[in-house]
Amino acid sequence: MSSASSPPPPTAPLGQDPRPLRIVTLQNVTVDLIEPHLRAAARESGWAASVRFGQFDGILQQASNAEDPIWAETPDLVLVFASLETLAPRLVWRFPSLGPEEIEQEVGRIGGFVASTLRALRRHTSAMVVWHGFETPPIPAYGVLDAQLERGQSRVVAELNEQLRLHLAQAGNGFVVEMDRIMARIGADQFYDRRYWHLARAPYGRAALAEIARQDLLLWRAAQGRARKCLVLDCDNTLWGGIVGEDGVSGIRLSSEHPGSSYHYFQQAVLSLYDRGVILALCSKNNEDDVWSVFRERPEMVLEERHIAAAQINWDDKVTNLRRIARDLNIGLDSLVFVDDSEFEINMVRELLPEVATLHLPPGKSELAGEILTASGFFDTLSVSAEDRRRGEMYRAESQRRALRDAVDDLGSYLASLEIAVRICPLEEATIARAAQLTQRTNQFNLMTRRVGESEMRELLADPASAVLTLQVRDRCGDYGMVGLAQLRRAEDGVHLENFLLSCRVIGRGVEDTLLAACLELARRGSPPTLHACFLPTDRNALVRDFLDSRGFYLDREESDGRFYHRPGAAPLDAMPAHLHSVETTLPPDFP
Amino acid sequence: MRTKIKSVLSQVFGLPIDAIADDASQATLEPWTSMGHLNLIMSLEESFGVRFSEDQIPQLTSVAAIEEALSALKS
Repeated sequence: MSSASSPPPPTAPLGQDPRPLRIVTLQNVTVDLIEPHLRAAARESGWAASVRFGQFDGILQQASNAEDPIWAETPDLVLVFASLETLAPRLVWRFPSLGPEEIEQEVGRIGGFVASTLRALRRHTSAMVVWHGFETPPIPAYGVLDAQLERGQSRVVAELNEQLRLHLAQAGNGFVVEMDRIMARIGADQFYDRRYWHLARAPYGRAALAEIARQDLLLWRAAQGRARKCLVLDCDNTLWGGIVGEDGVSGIRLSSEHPGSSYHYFQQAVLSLYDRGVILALCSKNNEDDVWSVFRERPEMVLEERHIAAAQINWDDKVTNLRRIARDLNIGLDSLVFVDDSEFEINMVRELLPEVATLHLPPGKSELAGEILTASGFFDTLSVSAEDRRRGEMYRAESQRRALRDAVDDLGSYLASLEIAVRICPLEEATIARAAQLTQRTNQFNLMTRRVGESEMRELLADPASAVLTLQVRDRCGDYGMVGLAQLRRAEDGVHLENFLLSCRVIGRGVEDTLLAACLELARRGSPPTLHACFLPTDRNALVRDFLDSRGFYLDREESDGRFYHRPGAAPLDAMPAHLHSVETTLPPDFP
Repeated sequence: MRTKIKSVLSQVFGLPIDAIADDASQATLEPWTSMGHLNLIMSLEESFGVRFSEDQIPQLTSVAAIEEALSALKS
């Protein structure tokens, strides 16, 4: 089967052991054929998937029965395949036989089925649920008339999907994979393989199964905070056609009209990622002045200098330059996606920096580049916050800070010159989305790495036994927004710190101590006045391994999953950073 | 062609290629379940660039039958 239109598979990540991912499927059609595709897609993202398939047409039954062997091992991910062909065969095959009332009834019945299934699941599992959306029949039963009807087949399926989306949002940690979009991408004839339907009630063809599995894993990866953060772009034959060093600033191909319009399109795709909060960087073998001249002198450039957070334009190898970019931006190599048209460069990066994801833009096919970039899903997240939209601005502020730092000799006076202002306050309804996102995306300065979804965060807000403190920071160069979070829970033996994290944007500014001080102040109000905390190691948070030791916490015990501490009396910290301009703390009045 | 068929079988069913005899069939190979059969057909179609008919698929239950069907399609 042809896969000419699909993007190249994402490159394998990390050279670490894959983490286990337990998948359970619930279905009313045969989808067992997806197993090898799920495993392959999981492997690409660094997980080792195991899949348990539900019984044919056993969705509600198995969702409701917590004792069913399918739940024997706690799943991480539940995939639901509820095909209308089984669920509502009349809607699919006999649509013209249905009157308005019967349609209404069917829509209500299916909504009830979705809601009951999700309620039943949520009684015994908080696992991520991915529900595969209902499919619009590619050839509607009324033919050309369908599109003219107020409630034709297509519109009814759209209603069902809207209903599904609402139920999933209500259930929490539930998401949709739009099957219609996959069908549109690969074509209905590839999407369905009717032979398997008649032989085994298996609707989907091989190309569909592969793409469904890929989308499932994109959602999973996004929920795990594994979305990549920074797009590193080659320049010649990537951002524009030709080589600026040879063809000259006016000789390169870049225009809104042919020739060069495919590069124009590619830059728009890049800029869309920037608008979603992706950081942009340049990594190019060139004379630096040549590249910036293109940015300044070619009005057809969609990207502007202000969009670029870091650049390594020189004749050093790209591996070295990628390391520099990660260091300059203070992000991990595993946050980078490197795009180049040169197979040599791509292979070298794959070989020497396996953590960096790569996208090879096929030479001579520049018209596909934008689609390849967007379809890769590397940057897909489950939310885009106001902070994300401002990220580019923030990184501009960061380069101003770098300039300040270069102008000042010692770190202390540099930090003081920044006039850092800290504000700590309890979580509010309005900050839930950003707070949840912080727990999902922060990896380095993160003591416990507990990922909290939006619905769970809302529960914490309502729970009198819990408190969540948020940390906001600004300085003379700009506003960092919400960059830290502490989550506390009262217990009989004192207050437990359940989450403590700081965005990498503000590491090294001493603001973590203000947040810890606020936690201690809260804990001092409790009885007994003790703050318990722990360090749970992951492959990425070595930065804070000794944080609690260095802040005078007593180590109670060391176990295989981490180190557990407490601070008796929740005594204040010995010293607070002197360079902070102001610290404004508001504590919840009634906690603990 | 027979070697290539066997190699697809060995991949799909996770068996060493030596474990697949010339007269191997659904009756002699344990992992060749009804679901395994569909997986096998999908892989064969991809490897050989062919498309079996709906009526043919249930009959391709031995190396010999597969070889015969492929020869007919390829000729």
